[in-house]
Amino acid sequence: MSYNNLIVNTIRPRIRELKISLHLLNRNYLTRFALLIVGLLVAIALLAPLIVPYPEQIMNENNPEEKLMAPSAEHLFGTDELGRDIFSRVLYGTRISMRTALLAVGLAIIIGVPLGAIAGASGGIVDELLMRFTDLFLSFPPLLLAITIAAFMGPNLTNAMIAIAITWWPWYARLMRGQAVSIKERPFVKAAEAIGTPHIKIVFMHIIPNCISPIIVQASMDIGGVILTIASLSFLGLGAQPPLPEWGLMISTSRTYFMNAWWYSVFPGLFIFMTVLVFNLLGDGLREVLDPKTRKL
Amino acid sequence: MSNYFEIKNLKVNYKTFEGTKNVLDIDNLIIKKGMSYGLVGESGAGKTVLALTILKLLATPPGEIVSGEILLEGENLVIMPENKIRDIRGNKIAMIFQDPMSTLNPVYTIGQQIINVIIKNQNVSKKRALPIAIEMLGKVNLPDADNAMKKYPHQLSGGQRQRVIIAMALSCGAEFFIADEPTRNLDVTIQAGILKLIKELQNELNVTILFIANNLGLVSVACDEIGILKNGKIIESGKTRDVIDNPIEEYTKILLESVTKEKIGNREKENNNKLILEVELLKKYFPIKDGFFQKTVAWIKAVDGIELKIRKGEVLGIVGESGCGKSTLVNTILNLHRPTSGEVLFNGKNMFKMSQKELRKTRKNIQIVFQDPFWSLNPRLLVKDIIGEPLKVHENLNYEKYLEKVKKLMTMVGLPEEGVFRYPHEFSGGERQRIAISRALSVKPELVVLDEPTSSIDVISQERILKLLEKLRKELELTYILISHDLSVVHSMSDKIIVMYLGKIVEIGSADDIFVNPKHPYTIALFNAIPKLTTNKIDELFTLEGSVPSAINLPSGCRFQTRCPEKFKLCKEKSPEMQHVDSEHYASCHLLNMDIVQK
Ligand SMILES: Nc1ncnc2c1ncn2[C@@H]1O[C@H](COP(=O)(O)OP(=O)(O)OP(=O)(O)O)[C@@H](O)[C@H]1O
Ligand code: SF4
Ligand SMILES: [Mg+2]
Repeated sequence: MSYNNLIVNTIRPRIRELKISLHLLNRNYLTRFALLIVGLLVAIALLAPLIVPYPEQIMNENNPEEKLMAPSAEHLFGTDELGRDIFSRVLYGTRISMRTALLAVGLAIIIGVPLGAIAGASGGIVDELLMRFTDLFLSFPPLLLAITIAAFMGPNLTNAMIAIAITWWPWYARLMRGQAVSIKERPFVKAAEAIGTPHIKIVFMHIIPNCISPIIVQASMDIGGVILTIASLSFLGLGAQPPLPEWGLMISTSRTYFMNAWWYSVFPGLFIFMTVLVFNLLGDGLREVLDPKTRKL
Repeated sequence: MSNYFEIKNLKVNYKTFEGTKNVLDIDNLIIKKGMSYGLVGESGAGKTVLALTILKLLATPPGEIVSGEILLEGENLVIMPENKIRDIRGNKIAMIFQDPMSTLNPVYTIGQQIINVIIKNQNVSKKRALPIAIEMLGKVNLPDADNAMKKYPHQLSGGQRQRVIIAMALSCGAEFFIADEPTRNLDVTIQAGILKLIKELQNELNVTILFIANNLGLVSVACDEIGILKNGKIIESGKTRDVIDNPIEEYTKILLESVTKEKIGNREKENNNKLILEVELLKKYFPIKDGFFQKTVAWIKAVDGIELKIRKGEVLGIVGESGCGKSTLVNTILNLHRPTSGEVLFNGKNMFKMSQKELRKTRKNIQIVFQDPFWSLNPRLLVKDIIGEPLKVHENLNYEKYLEKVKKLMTMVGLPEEGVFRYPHEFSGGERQRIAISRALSVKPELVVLDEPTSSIDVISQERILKLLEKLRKELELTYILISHDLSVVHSMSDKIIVMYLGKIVEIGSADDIFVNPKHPYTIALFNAIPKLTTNKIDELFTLEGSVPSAINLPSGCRFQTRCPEKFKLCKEKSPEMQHVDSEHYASCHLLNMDIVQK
């Protein structure tokens, strides 16, 4: 068999699985809706610079006519106090929020998952030490930690993201540990032990891949939550700094103009709401589909 | 007599990802009032779908009743409105599932649950319901009903739970029982009791029964008529004796053969090969921890002083009821658990004194195949990576060679080689078990432990797996330890058999000695509890009272004393020694010690 065939043969079953997953995801209306919107948001995030009608920073300070204009055909979501097109800024905001949320959740997973897996798989004193260490982090109120970090390292988006990752990883560690504890009793792990597979390989080959579904589900839900947290931090001045078109920051700035420019706060707010919602819906849908035992039907 | 229950031209389809599949196609099935009908078929034949369809519990979609009628006393259940069918489901028809735990609520006591049912169905006060409940539990022969009422479901044994379910159904006034493999997860001795109970209900209360099973032996003992279900169709049916004595279809004959297993491994008596495994006084106690400081308050003596020897090329069978410590024994031998004490010598070397590196090398030579073929294969890996895992650990092969070897292993166990690029869930239970076997064999082990290799697959695949194992044993000069609670499986394969009870060996001897001339009362009970095709009357089945006592508070004296039919005074006081019966046949029972018996 040629080398090419090998690759095709190895990838084909994975694609088949993916297709089945998508098919199953598609069966549920809510999930289908969520999938669609998430796809759209991702597309917006990736293509923002290409599709926005106006550069996000263009200002018309000299032209008072352009400021705080109500939504119109020219400016779909209206303009802000500096005459910037809110539609363009909200789209850019998608890019910022998505990227920060992905990075924060990704970081939390990279720290949390291996720690949790090792704790769960080893048991005993290692487990005890690692889990007490995670508890330590869990006992900080997330907002307080973020404020502390911002206070020490200066308030900006990157630091907000780091703060979020630091408060979030213990949840992944816990989730992973719980999974690992039950998975390690499965016969296939025992079989691997009987074969003589080294411990660390068992963790990465057998335990982690079988715990990944709940992690993915959790991550999907968390992306919504993290986006909300980033927005809150920015709203409080601890995250994104002007002139970044971050949703929370936009809402924060809009407060001053709330009485005569409703669109200024409503559209970014709507995007936050929608993003959080669809990621939660997607998480629910994924939960149903990802279990290999129930998926066959 | 009119037809109490009838199915006419029933067709049920399943919509799957691959398209629509016909799973049930029954022309005609009639059960008369007060009769029992046994439906036999291998897994996937559509047995459970039928049970669910009758009760209209079939999930639709993906299921779909295409056409047909299901008549109960002349009323068609298929077109009956949901609220009416719910009445029938709760009252007239009762379902007994494979797993009784799923029917009982774990947070209420047995008493609360059964009393609630009675209050709801018979419109009586709580006070009046209590004696009825006790009476019902008495009817299903639940020992010590008063006490059992106060217990939670998990505190009862599987057999007792099944009895409680039946009692609850009876108190709803059920007249038609659908039993879907009600004894599948039970030990033979307990299974016999449930079979007897079902028969009694039929005779005394004139209940009608649809008994579903994958074992012809079971059904033949319990039912008046039987039907053979294959791929959703009833291919043969009739009076039980007629079908058994004069089967027409080839498939029925195969099913019959699977019950009367002939000996597969017939080999030379004398085996003077070298000893491959010696186990000396092996003990494994699990601590029970309690309280804030997790102090050990008691010990579960799962394995309590086992000695055995296996020679190269032998097959050693281990039998015993669930919880007697079979799995713990082999897991400890394999060093998957730390032993409490004792020694295990593999090829003369003490396994518990090896360095990590040595141990890993030795492990290569001892492989294990687990009972549950679903969870014994990592569902996230392709079959090629599952079978090849041992190769990756122990042999350094380039990818081409590796794949070639994996494919060879795959064909060796009778699976198509393209299958290596699939996931385990794309295979059936029997096929998955073959994959597990080929993984175990991939590193050319000397000793293979088979922990219930056929318990969770249907009889026909069972037969094929056993034959495959025997063929591989000859070809690859393997030694087996075969664990099973199914005596016929053990007998058909083994040279030597060990009978275990509560962590100890009660009888050991050559397979024929144990089979033809069992000495220990427990072994005898195990044998007589198996329903055979020749068992005419259900009363010939032997049942053991009660269940295995807990391994924490062991009975005094002989461990079997609480259930032994032959028990006498001394049994309670003194634990029996191993007695020599003949050549290699030993048993531990006072009855075998003539001096004591005469006194
Ligand atoms: N990890 C464990 N911790 C505590 N107790 C255990 C553990 N594993 C097994 N036991 C107990 O040890 C005893 C023997 O169990 P074991 O699994 O060896 O029985 P078995 O003969 O293999 O039963 P089965 O036929 O159901 O597989 C039981 O009382 C069981 O509850
Ligand atoms: S010693 Fe007594 S209780 Fe034990 S098996 Fe023999 S007769 Fe029965
Ligand atoms: Mg077991």
